[in-house]
Amino acid sequence: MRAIGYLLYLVLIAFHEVIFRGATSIAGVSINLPAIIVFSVALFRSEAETVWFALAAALVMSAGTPLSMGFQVLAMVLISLAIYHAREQLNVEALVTQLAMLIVGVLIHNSLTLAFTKPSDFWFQMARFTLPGTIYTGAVAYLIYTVIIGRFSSRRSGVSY
Amino acid sequence: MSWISGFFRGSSRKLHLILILLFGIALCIPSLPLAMYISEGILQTFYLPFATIKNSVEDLRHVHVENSRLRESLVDANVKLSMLEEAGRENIRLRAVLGFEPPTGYSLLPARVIAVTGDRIPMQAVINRGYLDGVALNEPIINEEGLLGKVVSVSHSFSTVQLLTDPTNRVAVRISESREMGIAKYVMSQGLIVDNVPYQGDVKQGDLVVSSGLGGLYPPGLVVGTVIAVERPKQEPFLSIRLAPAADFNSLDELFILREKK
Repeated sequence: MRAIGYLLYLVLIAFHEVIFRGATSIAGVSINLPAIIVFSVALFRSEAETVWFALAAALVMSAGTPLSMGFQVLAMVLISLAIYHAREQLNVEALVTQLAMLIVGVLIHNSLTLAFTKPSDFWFQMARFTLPGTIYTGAVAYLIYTVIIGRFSSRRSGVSY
Repeated sequence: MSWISGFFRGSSRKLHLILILLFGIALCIPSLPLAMYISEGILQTFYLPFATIKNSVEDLRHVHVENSRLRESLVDANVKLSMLEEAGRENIRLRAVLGFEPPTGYSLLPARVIAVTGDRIPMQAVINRGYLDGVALNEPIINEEGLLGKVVSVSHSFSTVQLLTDPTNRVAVRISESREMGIAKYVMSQGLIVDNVPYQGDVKQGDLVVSSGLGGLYPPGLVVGTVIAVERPKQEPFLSIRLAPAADFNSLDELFILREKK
């Protein structure tokens, strides 16, 4: 049953790459939805699920640019693994801390992608696209966490907000 | 996923991490076509349905934009076509007017109708000539078809013409063949008629009716209409004559003010 959920995540990543990224892009600044999904798995699931899903998600998200596929696999797997271990070491439970870890992960992923794809224009691209993109992604992640995950966990724990 | 978790216990966990990292490194090697194969499979499986939907939506949007553009150009073309057709009709009318000569001793001042008033039928027309153009009251108005009426009011740049279809308008006329005289007037129930023609007068269908010149308002010989019916009612001293007006009062456009040469 959980495999179907992961498959749907992969479909969502493909949907994002084909349609959603362009539709939600503001002045060239876009959401890194695959990073939100992959790092959320790292924050809430086991290590095995984290690395395997990171591998699958990286393959799907970089299918349009096969030359960066290996880089994306390495970046996604290593960042997810780092988030997973940080979560385990720090025993992260609070929503704010989880979001902070996710945003740091997104920032690292965006920066590495930028360094790989446009190294010559790194600082300008960083200021113009990567940092705003990270903030944009963080805001979307906050919405997702508060609306979807918050509601889900409150229902499970019986707490009403 | 439980079997995956099992693999990750102990040393096999490290082994799998190493395998994934090696797989990533292998994908980084450009000479290996691995990334291309994987990419093709993923594109076919995951991307193609969304790409098809996206392309269909974009096609539909293009069709919509194209449709709007074509509608605009169709309206534009129709307007141009109407203007060309109107110019063609005007050309035909003006060609007919070119050969039109005023009666001796008169000159023509061309004018255009800018408004027509009247209930059911046009009775008055406003033309684009006024006293600045030298227009005076009671001057006859004609076109190439015949007599239309007379000027009843003049302003700065416009004048009002009382048409023959106004029931209060009267024209002294003559039957061109028999020279019988009468008065043409418009009666709502009958149309244009000639009154006051004696019972024994020689009038028949198809006779041309022209202005007689009596009364001094209209010069003689202006075509008023053609006799379409003649009745001889008993116990009446006059014939009942109905006319088809020479001019079409429903399509007035260019006309002339007939002015006496001084």
